[in-house]
Amino acid sequence: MKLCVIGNSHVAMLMAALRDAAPADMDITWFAKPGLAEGEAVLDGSRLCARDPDLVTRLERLGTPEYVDLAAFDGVVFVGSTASAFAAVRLLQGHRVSGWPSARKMISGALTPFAAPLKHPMLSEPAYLAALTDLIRGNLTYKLATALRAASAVPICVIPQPFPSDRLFDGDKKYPMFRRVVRRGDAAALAACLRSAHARAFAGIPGLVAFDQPADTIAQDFLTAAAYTRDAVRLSQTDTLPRDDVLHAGPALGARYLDSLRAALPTL
Amino acid sequence: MPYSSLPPSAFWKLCRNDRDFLLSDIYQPKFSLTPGMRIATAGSCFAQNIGRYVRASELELVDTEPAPALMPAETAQRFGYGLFSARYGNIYTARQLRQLLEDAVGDRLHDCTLWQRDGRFYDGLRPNTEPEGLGSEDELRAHRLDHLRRVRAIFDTADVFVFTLGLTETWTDTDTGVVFPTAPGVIAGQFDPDRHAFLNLGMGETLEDLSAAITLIRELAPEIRILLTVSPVPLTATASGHHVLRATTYSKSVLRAVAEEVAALDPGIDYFPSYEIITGTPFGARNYKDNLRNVTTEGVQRVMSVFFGAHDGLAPVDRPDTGLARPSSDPDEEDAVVCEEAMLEALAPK
Repeated sequence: MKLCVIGNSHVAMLMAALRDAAPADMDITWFAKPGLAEGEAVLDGSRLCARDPDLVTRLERLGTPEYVDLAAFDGVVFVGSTASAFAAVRLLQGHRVSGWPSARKMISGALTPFAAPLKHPMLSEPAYLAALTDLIRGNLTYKLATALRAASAVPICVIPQPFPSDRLFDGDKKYPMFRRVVRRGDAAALAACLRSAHARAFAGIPGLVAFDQPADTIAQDFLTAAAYTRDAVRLSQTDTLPRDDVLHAGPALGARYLDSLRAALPTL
Repeated sequence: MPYSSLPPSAFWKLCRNDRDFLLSDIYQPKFSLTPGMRIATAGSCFAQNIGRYVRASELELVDTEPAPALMPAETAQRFGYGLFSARYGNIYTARQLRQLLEDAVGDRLHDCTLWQRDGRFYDGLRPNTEPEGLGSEDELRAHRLDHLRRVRAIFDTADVFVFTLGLTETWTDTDTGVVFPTAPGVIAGQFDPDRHAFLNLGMGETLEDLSAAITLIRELAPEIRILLTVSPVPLTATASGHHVLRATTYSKSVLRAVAEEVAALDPGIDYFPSYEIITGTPFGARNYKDNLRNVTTEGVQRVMSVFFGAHDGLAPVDRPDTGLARPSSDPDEEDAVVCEEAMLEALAPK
């Protein structure tokens, strides 16, 4: 199976899984750079071209030419660059979702006659979901996937950025907004919205599947269990990530996604 | 002799001799706007343009219901964020403004405005701000009440309240007298011919409603200045039984006359002639898109240039970004404003 994997630093979990397992059935071309941004790689028909000098240098190291015809692959895999749990939490910085479990007290407060405006304005769940969906549609993966579909029928898979590690609360950094989501009992609702947003955003693109993060790799409803973030590597694979990195998943989650790719691609 | 000492702008011929019809002389503000002044806006669809330009200017737009951080601009607009100083959606009639202010002051809900469809709950007084509705009646009541408190909070900070009068036609609940921004059933709710009736507000009613609204505003903010404008956007459809052109002329005439009368009697209330700048015969149809209804971006820019140009303390404002990603080729859709009234177009016979 000849695949092209396009994305940001989260591509490394697939690289690590492949390094560990070395499956004979996959021949992968890596087209990746940390924080890969719009304009750094552009599609000309089905040809993906690196426009950013740093990306070109990184592709050289990965043995990838700066031009790749995506139509020549059995499948194209986009990793990351959609909407992350961090974005989902950030949307709640000043607002509270009125349809979520924690909203009962807030609603009761608002129903009190002549109460003051709520400290944090209410945000409806449809508005929250729409914001996440539109964030995904505004990001690189969606833009490249839609442009690619216009040029080629090659099967496409999307792997969203993994939830952050459940070691999030262990270190010195406090991540107060994540803590608040957990404390208020809203983590499951947030994760469900993030999943729905991905499903909605990509629903109109034929021959594309957007994977959900496997349920058994998730801890506390919206974090990645430590077993799946262990041994996470950088794209270079030679450098390790800082000990307190909570963003990246390791080969165990990468292997799960390789299984998902094997299962999904023949059906697309 | 009378007339002999009048400025050129008082004479049609002299205006006509000028390429721009001496538009720079059409507005002499009663009160000056200076950088940092806090402006609140409300009104019909056209008023959304004022908010956008105020935001892009040295003035400060009061926004008591801002969109969440990171929410894309297009999403925000679709859910009524950032269009006006709170998420009240379009306020087309003076009666609607009066009702909103009375509700805000009285912390008042109307049961007849709590609409239900397919298990979702909609605010009949701003059905477009939550197009997918809310999950329960309690949630809807809480949203509405918190919204009303934020409407009231506008007047804690605003220095100037800009209101754009849009229509005289409205739909009312005959049992309660509540008026809706759009006929029940168009966006949500159900039309009940025994309960919902068409109302075309006359000169006296519009004057009384606007005066009552201004009295309420002044009770909340005694020092506030008020700026009135009239939307130049014709009616999408009329339920008056008349031709839509006749109905438009009636509606705009009433609104224009009331705005003049109210402004003439009060030094704290001004009228800005955006209506004339767009609709005036010297300009033909050049300020309208091909559907002869939506105002072109150039037309809006012309209005705003005159407005900001009349205030010496304010720098000119370039055309602000609409925040919308996907322009449409259909002039009925391509407006950057959110307009429930335009949805009536879909009800026209094919």
